[in-house]
Amino acid sequence: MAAEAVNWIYAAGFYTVAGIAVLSALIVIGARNPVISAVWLVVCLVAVAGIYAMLHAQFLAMVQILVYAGAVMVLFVMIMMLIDIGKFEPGRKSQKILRVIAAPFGVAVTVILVTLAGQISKVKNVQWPEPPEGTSEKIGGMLFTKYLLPFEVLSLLLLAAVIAAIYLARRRDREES
Amino acid sequence: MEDLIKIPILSFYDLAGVATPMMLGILALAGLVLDSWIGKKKPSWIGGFSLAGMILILAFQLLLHIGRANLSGDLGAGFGGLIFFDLFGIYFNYLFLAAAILVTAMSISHLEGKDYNRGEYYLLILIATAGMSLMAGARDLIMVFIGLETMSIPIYALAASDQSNPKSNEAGLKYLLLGGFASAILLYGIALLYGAAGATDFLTLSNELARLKMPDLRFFFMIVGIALVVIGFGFKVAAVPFHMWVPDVYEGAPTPITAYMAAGVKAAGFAVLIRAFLYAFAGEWLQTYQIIWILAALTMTVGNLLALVQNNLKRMLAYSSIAHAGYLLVGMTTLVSSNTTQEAFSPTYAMMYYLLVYSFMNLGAFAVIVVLGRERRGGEMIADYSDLSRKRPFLAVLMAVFMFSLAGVPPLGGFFGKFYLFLGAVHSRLYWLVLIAVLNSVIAAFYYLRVVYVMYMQKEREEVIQPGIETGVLINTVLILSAAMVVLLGLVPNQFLDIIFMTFRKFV
Repeated sequence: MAAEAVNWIYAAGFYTVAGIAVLSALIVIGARNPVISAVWLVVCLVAVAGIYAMLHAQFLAMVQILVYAGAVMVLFVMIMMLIDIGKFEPGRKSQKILRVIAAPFGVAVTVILVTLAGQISKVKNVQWPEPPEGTSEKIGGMLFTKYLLPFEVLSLLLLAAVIAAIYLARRRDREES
Repeated sequence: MEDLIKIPILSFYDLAGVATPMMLGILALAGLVLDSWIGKKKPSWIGGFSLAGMILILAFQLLLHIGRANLSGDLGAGFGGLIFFDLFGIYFNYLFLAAAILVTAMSISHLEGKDYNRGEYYLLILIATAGMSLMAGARDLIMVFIGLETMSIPIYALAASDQSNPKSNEAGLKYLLLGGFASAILLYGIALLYGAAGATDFLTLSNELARLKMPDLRFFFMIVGIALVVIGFGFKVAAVPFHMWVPDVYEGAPTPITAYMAAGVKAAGFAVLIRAFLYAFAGEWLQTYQIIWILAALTMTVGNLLALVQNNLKRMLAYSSIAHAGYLLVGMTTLVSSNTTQEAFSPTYAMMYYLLVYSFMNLGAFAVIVVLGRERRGGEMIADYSDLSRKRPFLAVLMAVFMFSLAGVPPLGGFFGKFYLFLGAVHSRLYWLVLIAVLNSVIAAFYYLRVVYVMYMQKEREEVIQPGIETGVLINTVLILSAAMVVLLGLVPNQFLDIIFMTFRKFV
């Protein structure tokens, strides 16, 4: 009985958080004003962090909030402020036609997904693999043992991104001099 | 605590497995230091430096190759089983390094006097090559993904490097957005595979696929995950219907980078696909190969038909690159539909050979565009090539060689590449697919030979060419090397296939 109650609470929590994530994502792509999109994206990212926390990936949840909802979003808003994009222009005619063409496909994909989800929810007793623990201790251990190589390669990747950014950005000052 | 922190013991083989990307990374770092020193005044020196370094690394591959060929068994267990040290990877390292060397040499010539001639350009090529090498050696989907990003991010920037040209900006942005989209799809596929199998390494994935059956939800999620991985790589290798970015990006990017995308990026994508289907996704479930069948047929047909109507040579080669991805997918279909691992090796060799030939044909053809781009305005339109045979007979002959090879005319490498691919498909009874492929080759001959026709038969309308301009030693070397490889691969295909066969003989 107690286990069932826990399951119910868990399910209720999941659907609340997932619902918030999906709804806020819809507002992100629907909003005309990019600043409103950005704010709702924060909501979406925090909701996703909630899902991570429910999956026992506490460290990932914190990183999600700190890095994505925090640092990355600040960058977004900064850039919006710098380039002053204002509101999105309504689409050209060809884009409107594209939307009309895309609509039935979107509906079809939704129908397929919902049917699949219905079928999947009927399947019982699936032996899913054990999820790994998401504590910072475990992640740190994995990062420096099993996943040492990708961890090191990532530093090369970040270096490449920095070089690429400098390469593309620094040309202007050369023209001035 | 003791059971948590197990410091991995690195063996010699672990280091040998990552030696190539590591050396490329070190070369890039050294180049960065050098760049801050002399890069502002003499950016071409950085190019020369990276060229010399890469030639040394290419020579080092020979050492690795000999060393690995004398060892037997599976030597990829190091670094937590994330990377293979095997001859398949070394073969592709040869290919990537050769392509990167030729592209760098082309670039030094192409960038001369241009405002984006800067040291970073050459360093980004180095890092992209390191990423490709990691992809070809990867034994874990995490490694595949990180290698892919290490390759892609430099290439996004390189595609956008000619900022005074709006088309180049468009190319960079388009490639970045669609590439990011493709990466997201790929990552989603990897996540589904991880969720269902509990791991991302190839061995566990193949074990789980062999163990599970259809009613099991885990199996279902794995199939969806594999489909998403194939879509993600479909973008990178330019398969239809994921090809929309190709023409614009190929046209807008600086010509040497276009050559690199055609030669390197495509080979890296196929290296991962081959590896994944040989090791990770292998098994009886592969009845879904019809999907790759359809992809192959679509890719060939759409690529060739759209190439017919192009007037811009770079755009034409972009569509031709799509078509060639289709021929390679014929090889993938053969691989996927083979029953045993032994049977799957034969299409694998054919694809490895084809990728090598294809790289040199394309590098050569793009080098010709670079030469003409230096001499006249553009050199990108097919009409620019009229009467080339009279003004630059040597260049015209080389271009004709590349075009004949791309079209698949017998004595050249391109013919044997196609021949082996289609032969394998016939052995696997994929008659309809082979029929489509042969019909496509006929269509393709038309637009390749049109370039030859324009060069030899058409009189120039206006005098735009200035004969007698020095082409430069480097670009001439690129041209001659590429043509020599195309001819050589065509003259001795069996010997080459033997070498490729050797790369597999002692393998597993």
